[in-house]
Amino acid sequence: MQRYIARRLLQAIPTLFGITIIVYFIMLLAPGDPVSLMTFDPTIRQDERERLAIKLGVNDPFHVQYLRWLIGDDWMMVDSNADGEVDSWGDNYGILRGDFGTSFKFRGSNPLHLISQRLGATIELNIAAVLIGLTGGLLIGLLAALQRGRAFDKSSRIFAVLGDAVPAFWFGLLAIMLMGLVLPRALEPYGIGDGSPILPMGGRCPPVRGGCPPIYARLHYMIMPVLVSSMGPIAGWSRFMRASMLETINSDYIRTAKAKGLTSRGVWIRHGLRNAIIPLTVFLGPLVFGLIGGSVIIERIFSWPGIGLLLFDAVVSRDYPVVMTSVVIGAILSILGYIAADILYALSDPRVRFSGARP
Amino acid sequence: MGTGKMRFLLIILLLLALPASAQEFEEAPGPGLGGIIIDASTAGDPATFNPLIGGDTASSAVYSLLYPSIIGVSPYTGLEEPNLDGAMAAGWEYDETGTVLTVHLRQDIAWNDGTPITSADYMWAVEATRSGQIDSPRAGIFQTMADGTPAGGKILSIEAPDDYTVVVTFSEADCISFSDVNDITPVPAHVFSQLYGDNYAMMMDDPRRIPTVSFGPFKDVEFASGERISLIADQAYPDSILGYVSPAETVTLQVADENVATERFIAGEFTIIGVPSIRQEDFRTDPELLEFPRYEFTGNGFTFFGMNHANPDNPQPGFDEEGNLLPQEPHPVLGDRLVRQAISHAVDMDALIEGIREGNGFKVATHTIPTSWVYNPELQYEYNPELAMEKLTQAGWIDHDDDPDTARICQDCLFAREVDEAFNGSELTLDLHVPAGSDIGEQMGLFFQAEMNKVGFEAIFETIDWGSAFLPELVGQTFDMNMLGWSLGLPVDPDVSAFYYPEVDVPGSGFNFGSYYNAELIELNDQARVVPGCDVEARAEIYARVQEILFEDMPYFYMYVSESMTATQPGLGNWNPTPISRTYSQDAWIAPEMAQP
Repeated sequence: MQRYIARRLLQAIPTLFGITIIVYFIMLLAPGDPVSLMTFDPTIRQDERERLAIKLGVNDPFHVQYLRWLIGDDWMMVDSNADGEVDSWGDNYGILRGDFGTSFKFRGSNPLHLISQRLGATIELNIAAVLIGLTGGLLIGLLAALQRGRAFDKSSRIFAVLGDAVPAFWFGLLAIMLMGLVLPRALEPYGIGDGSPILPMGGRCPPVRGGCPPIYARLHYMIMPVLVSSMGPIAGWSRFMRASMLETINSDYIRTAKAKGLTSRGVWIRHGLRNAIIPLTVFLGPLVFGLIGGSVIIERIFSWPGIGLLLFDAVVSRDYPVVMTSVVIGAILSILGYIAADILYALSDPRVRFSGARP
Repeated sequence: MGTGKMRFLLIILLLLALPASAQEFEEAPGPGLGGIIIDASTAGDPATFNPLIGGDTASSAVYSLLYPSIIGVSPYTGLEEPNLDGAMAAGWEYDETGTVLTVHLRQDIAWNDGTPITSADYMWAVEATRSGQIDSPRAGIFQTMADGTPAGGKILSIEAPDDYTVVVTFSEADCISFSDVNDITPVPAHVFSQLYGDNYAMMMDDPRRIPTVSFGPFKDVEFASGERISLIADQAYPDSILGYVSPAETVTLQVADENVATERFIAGEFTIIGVPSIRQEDFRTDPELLEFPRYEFTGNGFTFFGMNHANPDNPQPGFDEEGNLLPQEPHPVLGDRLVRQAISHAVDMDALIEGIREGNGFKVATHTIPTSWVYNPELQYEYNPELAMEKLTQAGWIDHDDDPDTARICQDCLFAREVDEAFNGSELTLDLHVPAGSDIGEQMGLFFQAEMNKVGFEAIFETIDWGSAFLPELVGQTFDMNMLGWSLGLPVDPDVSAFYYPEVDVPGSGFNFGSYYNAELIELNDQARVVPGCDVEARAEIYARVQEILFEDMPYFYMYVSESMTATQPGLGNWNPTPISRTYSQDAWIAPEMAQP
């Protein structure tokens, strides 16, 4: 297994470089440039714009920009005062030496630092959403399979279609209106509440000084965004689970187990469920990236201070260093996630063997 | 007395009348006992808390509360005035050449650690900006950087002969350079020099360093990325309206979606909000929303359709490499002033403002906004489709089939006469582009398309992405008609050099993206910039003619100035909004308690 992992990791290196080259190329090829976006202000003088373009290095050809990002520019002379003439050695070390550059938009800020500031919020939200999505989805899928053709199965299918089809922004706005305005005002005349929102309409922490309290003290801030972002996963996982479970319970070994006189519960859980879950492990790879990927829609609607909005802003404002840093992190996590999923699949299914492993 | 002078005096009288009626404040419960102000911002994270390297809206919203300006802008008149709260200048004068400005500083203000605020604080900021070591968007105010590199501005030098005097020398007399002096924000030199010494570039390494010494109604920034910025009251602030700062704290929460922000305000989570134009009518008419006190005012920006006067297939700069004026091929359609005027008669702006914008808009026909001291209400586009068609015919665009629904064709139109005779027979067609993402913008684009097509255009409307399509074709000068808006900084000066001079006609980056050129306009604008003493009345007379030229030439189809609305929770005390500022009195506010679940 170690050899398999080592081989996969070696294969990942060219994949990673390939991803960075393609993304960098697409990013530069896209119409619009960061200097125009940053300086679309008539009070900024023309030569100031040109000076900024030189300082950011965005006038250089693609291969020079990519190399500077990758291996730095301390090996070449640069125009440090942006007067049109090269005058000193560069001072960037490049991503291979751990220098992720500085954000264009947030002048001087390290992209890794910017991302790390938002990472906690995104992980917190996504772990909760994945846990609820997985638990809810698997449970509903299992019950739907066991009650095939009955009312619960039919309801779960309707729910799955709705969960997939209803856009998160619409569902989110609806939830905000309901919990923040409609319900509190409807309940107030009956002496229930004082008309204040039942749940916070946005944000991750109370708007008070002293930092964010521990997660258990602000769980109510998570309820709406987590529910809205787990709707899609619940719908998807319940369908996968139902299909997988139905396939499993129609297998010969399930029939054999029943013929041997095992209780239905024992057959479903001990034999059926364990085998039905195996194919679902292949989805765990993308899930790892999903945990940090963030969701622009959810974060925007619920003012959740995560990575999604940061990256969206970075793409819109052509903040190349932030975009590329997130691409590198995302690519590494995706590659590792897929390797982990393969290993997990092999470990959970004895029929699968690592190629090259000893018998 | 001419009507121009009369109008000018009326505006001045109106502005003078405002302060007297607006300066009464009630006593608050006490220092820091006036509650917590909570507002929402859609501007994202501030890039920095350092005013020397900041330039974005989110950053300036924070550091404007922490540092003084050298010359204050009155929240009542929008003009620079001496001895204003939060500003250093006690007065100023020009020498007889108009090139040397001497600013006398107040001697009664100090940083919150007790150190007096002096000219050294301004000079440290000047040296840092001019050093070229920092990415400052303001370095361009100087003629040269410290190492002699040309910077393009008009300030030759800034000196401080003593602790309370600053002398600015300009390369030439220029009224608009006065505001350049204010582009540089004084910082506590005793703190900054200790932190950075002469190595100004170090400021770039720590852009979000929390200021420890400040001068303003609030201090001690607490920042949570993507979440909130909080500042607490600074009772050491000597310029507070009541003699103390009333609110305990001001918190700005980041809310990316303005619809959500509005709903959260209605639910009682925010003290104050700028009401989006799409919800303004609700706040005027919905009985449930009438409880919120609101203030409506004409904004300081205008929306327009930029029109390309030059051939979009061959964008050229205003000057050639030797600095000579470069004649440009006219735009096949919009190069002719008669066609541009025809468009102004074809579109019913009143219907657009009443229908699509639900009345939220003040119709304009030049670059000056109603609160400007040169605004001329007599200049208005006349909606007259018959006249539009007449002008098109006059311009050589004829209705060849007597069907107004089909596009007219060129018969000896300007482009055929001056550039290519083969253009005769071409259809009167134009692309109208609006940035994607705004329903109202899309409706306005469709309205323009329909109105123009009624008089014989084949206008093709499309919404396109701002960053990847709209901006590149606009600054690349390859567009026909693109809709956007300018938000003007304060104080608003009627100078047009940033928009209509050939120097800024640079494909790819200049702001004269329509390649408009009028020698008389440039001459008049230049005259207005060197009026002795920058006398406002004398400048207004010159700009009266400048506006007439812009009205006739139509470099843009000027559309409207947005009617803006700010709403607060009931019971917000000492809220005294003006068209210039809705928050200048916030150190006296008595904020009601906000709803929290």
